[in-house]
Amino acid sequence: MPRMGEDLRRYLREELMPGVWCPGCGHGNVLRGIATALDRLHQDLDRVVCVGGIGCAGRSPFYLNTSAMHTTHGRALAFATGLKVARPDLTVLVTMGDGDAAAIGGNHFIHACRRNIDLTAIVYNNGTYGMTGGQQAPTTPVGMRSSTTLLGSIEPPFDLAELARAAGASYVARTTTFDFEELPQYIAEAIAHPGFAVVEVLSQCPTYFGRLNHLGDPATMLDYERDLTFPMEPMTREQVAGKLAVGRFLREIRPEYTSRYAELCDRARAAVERDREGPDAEVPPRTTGLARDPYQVRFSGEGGQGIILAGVLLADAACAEGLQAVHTQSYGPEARGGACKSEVVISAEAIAFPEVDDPDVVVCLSSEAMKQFPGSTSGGLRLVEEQACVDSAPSPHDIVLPMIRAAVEAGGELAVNVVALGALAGLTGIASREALLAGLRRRVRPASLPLNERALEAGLRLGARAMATAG
Amino acid sequence: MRLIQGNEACALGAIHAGCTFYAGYPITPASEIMEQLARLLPPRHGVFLQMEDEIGALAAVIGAAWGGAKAMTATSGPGFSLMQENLGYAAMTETPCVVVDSQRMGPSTGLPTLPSQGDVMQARWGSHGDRAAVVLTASSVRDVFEMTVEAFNISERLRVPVVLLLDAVVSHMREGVELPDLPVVTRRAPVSLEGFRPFAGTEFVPFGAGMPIVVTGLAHAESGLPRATDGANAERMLRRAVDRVAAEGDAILRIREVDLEGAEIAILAYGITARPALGAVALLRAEGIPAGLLELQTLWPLPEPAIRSLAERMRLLVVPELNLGQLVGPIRATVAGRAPVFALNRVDGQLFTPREIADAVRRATAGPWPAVASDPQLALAEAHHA
Repeated sequence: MPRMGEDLRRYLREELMPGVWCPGCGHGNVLRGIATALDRLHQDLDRVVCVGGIGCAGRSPFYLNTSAMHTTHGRALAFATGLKVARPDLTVLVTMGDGDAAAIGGNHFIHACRRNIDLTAIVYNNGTYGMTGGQQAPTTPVGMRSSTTLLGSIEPPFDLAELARAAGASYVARTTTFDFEELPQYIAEAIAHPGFAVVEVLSQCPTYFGRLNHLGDPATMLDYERDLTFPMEPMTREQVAGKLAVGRFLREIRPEYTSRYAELCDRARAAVERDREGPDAEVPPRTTGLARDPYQVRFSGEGGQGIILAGVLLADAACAEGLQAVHTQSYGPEARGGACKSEVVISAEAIAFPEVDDPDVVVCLSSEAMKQFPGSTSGGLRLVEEQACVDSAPSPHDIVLPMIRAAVEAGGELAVNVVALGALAGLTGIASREALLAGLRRRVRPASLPLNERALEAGLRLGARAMATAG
Repeated sequence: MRLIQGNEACALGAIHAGCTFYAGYPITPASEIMEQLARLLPPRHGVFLQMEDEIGALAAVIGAAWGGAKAMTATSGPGFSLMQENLGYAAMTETPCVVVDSQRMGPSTGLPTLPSQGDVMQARWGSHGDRAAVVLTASSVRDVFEMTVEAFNISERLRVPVVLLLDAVVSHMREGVELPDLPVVTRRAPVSLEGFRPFAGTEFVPFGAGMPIVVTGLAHAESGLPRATDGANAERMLRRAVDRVAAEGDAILRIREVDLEGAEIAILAYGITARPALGAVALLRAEGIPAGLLELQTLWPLPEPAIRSLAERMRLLVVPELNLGQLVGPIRATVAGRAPVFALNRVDGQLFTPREIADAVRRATAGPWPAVASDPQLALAEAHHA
């Protein structure tokens, strides 16, 4: 039980006092509540960090003799989130004003509630922006005056305790600076609570909120707080119309984030041990020179056809054969559909320009790609999917191959990218079968490996046949 | 040799540098960095956090850094804009941390999947007020790895937030690389906590390590306690932080010189644009035009000694950028009239090709000599806009 005159000075950084708070401000009462709670919990002050936002309440970390982080406006909870997850051993308190927590920091507030990280958020709610001159806050009651609502606020305010409960906080209490005994009690409960705890404290601002609303001196404002609220337990809804409930709204033990994260790390470590990959298969180095160096290939089609993977597998194969390779990709916002391209530059030397500016081969798997990506201007090949020619006529020099049909025959149209890759290799000899297979085994899930191996073989046959036909 | 994506190299560089904390928010073209670290950090008992926005991401990073973690975040233009607030806070509080910005074409949502170099000035001056700034770039997958490690090392050594500028192409590009084993720097602890002033030097004491630490975005004394109306103290503290970076000189001014020996024309490029510039040098040299490349890997502080020395030796300088001319201004100021500096710019989400840069250099050399315009601007050949 806190007593008047209790010596809490060891919890205070007296060298910074008197601080920024006006005479009669309620925030000192809240600070007393925090100091009393720390004292009652016998907290080791070296393990406590108080994180504050911007505004009158945000200054609290300076006045507590703990480590202090005075952050940016509205962001205190986000800073505290990083700190607590990095250092679960620390007790982290977060002090914010109502504008800080509910307006500029509203997004961080609801997400901190949702994550249920073991933080204690103390919202000093004086219904106004004190430090900047008494403007309207998202907590200003309808009809009350502020320096920006001289005719009375017309915006409904947030009920912060209800907001915290709805957003997922696992401990929520509301009290006032009038409630001398409950204030330190709730803060102590909140600090001891293993999860995200919110204590909203209605606090008086005699300088602005009180003066502009003719609420009298600070002591009279405490009566205003008393009359504005009702203790939750004994009262009925009818008795309390238009008033704010005070008391403990919620105290539930739910899975806490940092404990769950530690378990997740253990599971991740176990999974890594289990899935440790063996070494890649040996691939014989390429002994023949490239037809042109650098050799440039462009795969094109629509999102979902595996265009990017085809390019990656070709670049993989080139690396495996001891060549230099660069792969680039270009796509729109669509994950499926839309035109996309995937380019590979292969060379025996270091590659300066990473993109294809004069392709040796263009592979087109969709009619849209046929329109967007013409073949080379200097005699390169264009390999075109047969079905894409229904909408776009091929040019006389195009090599038209039934790649989708071959993929379907191999077991699924999804493997058309690997058929195309095989056809390209069969036609041009740009990559060896062994090198392509090694890449497939590394990149493709074991379940779909047989399909992709069949697709590669089908593609190699298509390419070799086209090569024979073309002479 | 392994085929590695730029964003993957960034994540691997972070792990190599000892990164134990990542917080971020998904955004193209940076998302693979967070996806990789979501996979790499937990088995190492590092922290991966997906935050509610980029403001919160950098806030969490700074909170973790003061918990003692080596921490980083990654984003792209729109998220980088949101991070400016806390980037200023990191500078004011001398917090070691790394921010990666994979640039895409803006302004606003812009061309989300296409590359840009439009954040060069924002990376230096985006937050309000003056501050110490270190900004690095990379033009290859191997460089992404190296510069990520370098970003952590500089950040830890100097207690300064370091920005690494990538772009949509470098981020998504895959190259066959051998990753080097690079030295790793870790922030220095003071010899003793007795009388330790947390903002007097580069020694660092995290929260919960034996003494109360006060960190604030207000101007503060060396003790960390706020001194919000003492202008002389604020100026002294700011100048000291800025001077600390400036005093590093060549230790953080990274450049790469190609064929500058005997060259008369220099292309100054950075990031992905250094690649076509390298190609252009080869094309020009093949025609007997004595061109060379100065690649700036550190953008801020600007490698002024290298640029000044180049200006003394060259007949002209060409600065290609994927923006409407951002770094060319400070380059011109550094060159100070010693040589004409030609700007070459595009903002259509495409890279320059080697041929385009080579053509532009030829046009620059074909003009009246010495160049008459004080700020010559080269146009791309018409064909490329067709």
